[in-house]
Amino acid sequence: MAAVTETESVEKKKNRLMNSSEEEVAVEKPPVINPMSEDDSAGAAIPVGNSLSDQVMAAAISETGETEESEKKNLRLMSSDGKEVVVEAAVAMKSQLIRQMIEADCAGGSDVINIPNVTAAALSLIFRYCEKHLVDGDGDKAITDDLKSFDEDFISVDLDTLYDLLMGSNYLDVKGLLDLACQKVADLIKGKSPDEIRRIFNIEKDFSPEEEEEVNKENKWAFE
Amino acid sequence: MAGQGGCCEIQRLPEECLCQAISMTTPRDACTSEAVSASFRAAATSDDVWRRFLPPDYAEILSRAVDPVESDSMKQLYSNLCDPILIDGGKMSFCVDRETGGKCFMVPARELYIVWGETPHYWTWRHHPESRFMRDYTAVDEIVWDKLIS
Repeated sequence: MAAVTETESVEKKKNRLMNSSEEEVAVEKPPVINPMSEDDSAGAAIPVGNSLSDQVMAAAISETGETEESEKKNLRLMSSDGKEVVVEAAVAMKSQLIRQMIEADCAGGSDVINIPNVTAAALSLIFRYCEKHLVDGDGDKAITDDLKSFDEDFISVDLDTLYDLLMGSNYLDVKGLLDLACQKVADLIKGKSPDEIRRIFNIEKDFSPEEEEEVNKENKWAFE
Repeated sequence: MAGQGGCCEIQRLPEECLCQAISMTTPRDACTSEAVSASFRAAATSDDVWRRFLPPDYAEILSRAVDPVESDSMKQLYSNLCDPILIDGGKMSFCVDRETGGKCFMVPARELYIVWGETPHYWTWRHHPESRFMRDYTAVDEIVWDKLIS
């Protein structure tokens, strides 16, 4: 069972602070899962095997109540730029890709999961979103409003970061974040002329005059 | 936010992401997006985008059409449905609002229940030459609107 060392806790906090662009919002801690301890004081009858999958699944689905901070299960991910990112299992499994990899035990016996398409910076940001969204609004207006406010601030980023979030959430299959990022791009497109859209996204026009005329003719009503 | 990002960085987005973003705009925005670039055009004309602009139950409504609606793509289907079609054996017509994708149903006057509708003192039925409905008649004369029930 991997314990969270003091260094790792500090490291996690550092990552969060480095990527935080606004005041830290008090986040309700996710349910802290207690993998089975030797004296079975937690009372759960969930067998913990040796594979990463067994350990993480036990950690993710156990409801044995509170435990010490140091006993939360962490995952280690290797980013596309060769950096190791440590994240709580419950947070990481908001990614359907990671969840499926864990369930299918695709770590291949290793404790490190390779994420070849996403940088460490993007991973940290994505997991920050996931951690915040561990708490489901589910009819509670105060939580829903808080999440909405968080999302608005979270997605107010430069275009490069927006693309990283979009591609990262698409690859990792984090639906809520993908929808949020796509909506941001959509809001940049809405009500704009083609020239304005090109200016915003720094796109070069690659139509011939004939192609452009064909497009305008097909969509005449939209340009009226 | 305007003008940020490297040149053509948006081109590195997978087409499905651009499709999803465009599908979250409006039909008008999708059409203007086509004129941005070749990759925008490919995304903006995709079936994925225009299927989302159509009403969710478009297939069920089409199954009720008097005449089949032929289309090569979802975009063409959307455009075709912006002109009314007869459904339910001609008892109703249906079309899609071009700007919003909203459903528009038109009911012939004869399908309305009108209080005192058969009382010639208040209502008479006359055939309108431009009516789309086979047996439609336009109710005229003195009308008591607050009694009109559909």
